[in-house]
Amino acid sequence: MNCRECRDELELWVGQADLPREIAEHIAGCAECRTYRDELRALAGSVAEDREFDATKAERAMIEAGIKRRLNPDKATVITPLHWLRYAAMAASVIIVAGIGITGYRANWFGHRAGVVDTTAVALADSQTQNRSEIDSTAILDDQDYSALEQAIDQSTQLDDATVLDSLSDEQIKYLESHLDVKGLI
Amino acid sequence: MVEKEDDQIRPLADRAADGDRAAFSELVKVLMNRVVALTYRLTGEREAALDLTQDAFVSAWENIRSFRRDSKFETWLYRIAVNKALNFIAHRKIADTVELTDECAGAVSQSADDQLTRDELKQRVVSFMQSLPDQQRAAFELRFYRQLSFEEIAEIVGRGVPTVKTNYREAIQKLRKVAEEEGWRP
Repeated sequence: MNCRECRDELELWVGQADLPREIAEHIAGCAECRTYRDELRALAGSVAEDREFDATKAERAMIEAGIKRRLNPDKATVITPLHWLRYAAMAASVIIVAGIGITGYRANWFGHRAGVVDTTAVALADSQTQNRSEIDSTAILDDQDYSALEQAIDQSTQLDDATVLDSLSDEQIKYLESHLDVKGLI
Repeated sequence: MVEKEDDQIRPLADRAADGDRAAFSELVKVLMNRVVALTYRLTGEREAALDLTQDAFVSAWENIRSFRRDSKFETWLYRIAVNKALNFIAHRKIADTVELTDECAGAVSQSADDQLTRDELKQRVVSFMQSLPDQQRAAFELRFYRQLSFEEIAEIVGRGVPTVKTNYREAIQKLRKVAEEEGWRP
C-alpha cells in the first residue's frame, strides 16, 4: 500500500475505533500518513458529541406514548362530539333511505307491481291485513291452508280475478265467502 | 457480511419477530435515542425527527414479519428510518434548506474565533449535515455516528458499496474543509 492509497483508505475509517491491519502497518512506518491519521482523528473528535442528540425524557415519553397509541387504536379511541355527529348523520341517512324505500314500495313508485293492480287483489290484501287477528283467533284454516291463501293473495297482485279465484281451494273460497264478503265476485 | 448484533438487541428482536409486543417495546426503549439522533441529523429538524422516529417504530412493528432473522434488527430499523427521513427531506421545500444553511453560515462566521460551546457545536454539526447532498448525509450519519459497515449502509440506502464509499469520502473531505475554514475544535 502506498501513501495515496493509505490516505484514501484512512478517510473511509474516520470515526471508527480500529483500522484495518494493512493501513495500521503502513502508518507504523510512515510519519506523513500518521500525521494525516491524527488530523482525521481530531476532526472526528470535533463532531463526535453524539450524546448531545439524544432525546430528552419528555421527548422519549412523547414518542413512546405516540407509538403505543398508534399500535393500540381501539384502546385509544375516544368518542368526541364530532364522532357523535358522524354517527347521527349515518343513522339519519339509513332511516331516510329505509323510509323512502318502504313508502315507495307501498305506493308503487318503482313500478314493481307490474300490470294492472285489480281491485280484487287490493281488497284481498287489505282484508287479509285487517282480518289477520280474526283469522288467527278463529283458526278456521289450518297452517297449510293459511300459507296457501297468503301466497295466493300475493300472486294476485299480478293476476286477474279468474286466475286468482281458480287458484283457491274450496275451503279457501268458503272462508272468503264467510269472512271477507266477496261473494259477488264468485 | 452481517456483523453480530448487540447481545441486548438480538434476543429482543427475535421475540418481537414472533409477535411479542413487550419485547418490541423494549427495543423501542433501547434504540430510540439512536433513531432520534439519526433522523435529527438527517433532517436538521427536531420536531420532524421525533415524528419520524415514531413513524419508523410503528412501521417496524407493522412490518415485523418481513424482518429477516439472519440480518441485524438495527440495520433493518435504520433502513426504515433513513427512508422516512429522506422522503421527508424530498418533500421539504428546497428554499427552506437554503435559508437554513445561509443562517447557519452567518452564525458560524460570527463566532469562528471563539471557543465553541456544546450547543454551538451541535448546531454546526446539524448545519454541516444539512449542507451535504442526501446520499452523502446518509452515508456520513450511518458510518460516522452509527458505526455501520459499508455493506450495511449499502443495504440501508439501496446503493452499491463503491458508491457508498465515495459518498462517505466526499462527506469527510467537505467536513475537513469546513472545519479548517471555520476553526472547529473538539
